[in-house]
Amino acid sequence: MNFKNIISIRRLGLHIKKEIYTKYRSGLIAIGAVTGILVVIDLLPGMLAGKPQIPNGAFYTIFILLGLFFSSRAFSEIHDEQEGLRYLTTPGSELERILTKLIVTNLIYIILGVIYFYLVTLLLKGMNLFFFDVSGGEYSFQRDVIKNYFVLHSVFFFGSVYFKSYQTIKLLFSGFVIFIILTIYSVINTRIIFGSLHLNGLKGGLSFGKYPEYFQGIYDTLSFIFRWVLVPYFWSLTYLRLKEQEV
Amino acid sequence: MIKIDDLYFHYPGQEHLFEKLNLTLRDGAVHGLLGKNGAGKTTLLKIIAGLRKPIKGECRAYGYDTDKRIPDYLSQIYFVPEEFRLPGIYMKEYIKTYGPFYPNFDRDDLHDYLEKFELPDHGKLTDFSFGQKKKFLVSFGLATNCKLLILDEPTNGLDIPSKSKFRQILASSINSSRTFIVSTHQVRDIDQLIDPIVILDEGKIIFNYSLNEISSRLNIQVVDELPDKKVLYSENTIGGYSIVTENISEEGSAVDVETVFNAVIENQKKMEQIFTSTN
Repeated sequence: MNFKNIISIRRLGLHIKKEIYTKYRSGLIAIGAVTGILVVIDLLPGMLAGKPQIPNGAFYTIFILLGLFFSSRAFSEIHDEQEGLRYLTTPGSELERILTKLIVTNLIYIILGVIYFYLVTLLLKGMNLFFFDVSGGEYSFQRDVIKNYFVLHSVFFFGSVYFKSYQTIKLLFSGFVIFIILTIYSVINTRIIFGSLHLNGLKGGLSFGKYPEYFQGIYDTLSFIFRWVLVPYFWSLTYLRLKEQEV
Repeated sequence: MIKIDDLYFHYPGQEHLFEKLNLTLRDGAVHGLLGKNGAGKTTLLKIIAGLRKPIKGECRAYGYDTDKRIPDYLSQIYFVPEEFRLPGIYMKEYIKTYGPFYPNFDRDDLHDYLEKFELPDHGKLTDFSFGQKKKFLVSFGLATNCKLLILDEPTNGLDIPSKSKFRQILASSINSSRTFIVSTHQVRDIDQLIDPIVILDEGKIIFNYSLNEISSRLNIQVVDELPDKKVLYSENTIGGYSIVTENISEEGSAVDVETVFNAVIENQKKMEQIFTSTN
């Protein structure tokens, strides 16, 4: 097969341009709304107690939630017959389509997010100095937030291609169910290993006694899976699902 | 050329829509795909466009398996659906965004078509009426200069002058390397445009003949009274009866596509005999 039918940088660029042209308006609306929320969160403590505070915590929450919302809607057009027809007949390979969505909802989102929160911090500091004569804190954006977003994004990205409607809600619900199942599974394992039917011991700090290496091994394995296996796994599933998509 | 061989298709949980469907569409023609409601016209168009995958059998166009959705193939086809939703962007943005995907896209051609359809060359697409949007999509599809243009109910929503313009534009745009497939219920709108006529019924192609063949084998006329000789199909008209009989003379007869369609649907076996026996 002609390599250009698998990936063409020119076509990939066209897809990214198309994605930005057709979606940037909703992005601008989101930025407007988020800026309003952040200004309120920053100024409220200032108005109530004279101590405005740069809302770094809110940055992370909004960054993650908004990103997951966008990524869960990444492939919304394929679930709509009219939009799906145009999307799937626009010349491009499945790899280009998936890369486009990844670049826009992940790479570009992260870069723009970090720049945006930096600029908002400057704005808020300026407002704080103007109204309260204090800056209210400094800009900080932790790398771990981006790392965690990267992994969570892959799950929501797959959800966007898998679920036909209400992707965000269904994903959150599925995540909740999986979390409950994993918790129950862990509790059962703990009880089997430690022979205790009471969980109170966990509150007082459970000593792993002669099994520290065993638990360290479990922790390392889970970390490795979370960081390095989940992402390509969900990307691959998304690719396969997109390939067989019909409208 | 588009070739469909022994194709089977059904929607999940439903009975077969197509069983052993065979069809060949040659280049350089405006193929009229006709059929009753639910015959599968849109599904067939979707299979040709790679939007639906056959259960069994194959659909190949210009050397490509259509269900693979190979970019080289997609850049040679353009599908104007019956119903559509355009993005909320300006016409210029749409042209700038989607035009470069098609290697033979020609902006001058597009402006010519827009002018012929009396459409503005600017403005937000979502502000246009349904008919204007459709005319824009048809113009854009033609301006891509794709090998295959698929039009599903293209005259739906067009006013009377636009239907006439549509026929003129399509007739002047076809050439030996292009293929147009027009699926419609409104046969009168494209009466003088389509050739050959392809009729799909109960999951099978029951008729695929050129106007020349039809005119040489069928006689369509309006009479005051129903004749005694074998009439393949008749319907009441203002002037009497419109009838279809076998053409036994050497002269060709004018073809009324709607009457032919009704005759084929009503008298399928006899039609098959007439057309296959003279082959």
